[in-house]
Amino acid sequence: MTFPIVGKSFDDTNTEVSIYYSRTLICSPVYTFFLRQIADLIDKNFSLPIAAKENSDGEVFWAEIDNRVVGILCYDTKYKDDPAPFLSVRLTAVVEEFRGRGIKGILYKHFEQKAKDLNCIAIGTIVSVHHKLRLGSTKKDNLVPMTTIMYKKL
Amino acid sequence: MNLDIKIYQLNENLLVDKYLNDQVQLMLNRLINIGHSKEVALSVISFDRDDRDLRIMIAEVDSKFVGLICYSADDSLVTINLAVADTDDYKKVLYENLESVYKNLGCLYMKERLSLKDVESIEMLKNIGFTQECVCLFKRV
Repeated sequence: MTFPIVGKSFDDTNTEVSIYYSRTLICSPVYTFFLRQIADLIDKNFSLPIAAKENSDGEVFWAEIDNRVVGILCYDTKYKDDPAPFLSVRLTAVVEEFRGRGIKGILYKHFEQKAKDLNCIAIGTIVSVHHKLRLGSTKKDNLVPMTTIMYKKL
Repeated sequence: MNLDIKIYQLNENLLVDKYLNDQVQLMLNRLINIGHSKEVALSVISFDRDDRDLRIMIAEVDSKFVGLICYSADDSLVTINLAVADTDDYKKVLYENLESVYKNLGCLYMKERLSLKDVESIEMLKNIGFTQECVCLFKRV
């Protein structure tokens, strides 16, 4: 199975970044990358152990530099036919050595275009209340908190 | 408290379906009154009516509906879409029953999404053992 390049951009270091897309996260080349990121979030208490199961479906954009995966953005489309349709990010992650170079922004650009193409009015993302760094950065991304998810362990 | 608890599927009982629809409308109005736009309010309590796992747990007193929890469940997670009741006590009984049923079935978590402006409901859930784990943020495109 081949996956199309849906775009090429340059990051903040003027390095070419290729953006790929898959309609399914499972069976995509980045599924294990996704699982490692989720495992890392769970270990850091930024996600509940149920996260891998809750987030395992959906579509994915990923970024490659010199054939190496450097970032992913997974999202689900289950709210695209809602009265207020939106796409919801499940996970964004950039490999540590490639952070601070605008790669997440490049992924978000493609994601937002996908939302517009599907006639969505918004994009959404879910951030752990324990992930203070990420919560802080959402202001810069113009993301506005609206709802909260509460859990009870049985 | 002479409370009966029953569980229905959607489209199983017309009176239950009507009660659910009425409560959805009341909740929409409540969300709008606390400051949400209609489209955000619709988004907060949207659920898939075609979901075959959708259930409605109803609380009745003297044959009168006094509360409901609309939810779906799989083998590990109970997802609550809407929980309303005439009193907090009835609401707590509904949550306790739901927890009891699905804990016995081996479920691991209960989950509910609430508006951040719905401070009353957030506090109520905290009082019965829920914790706020995530914030959902949005941006218009």
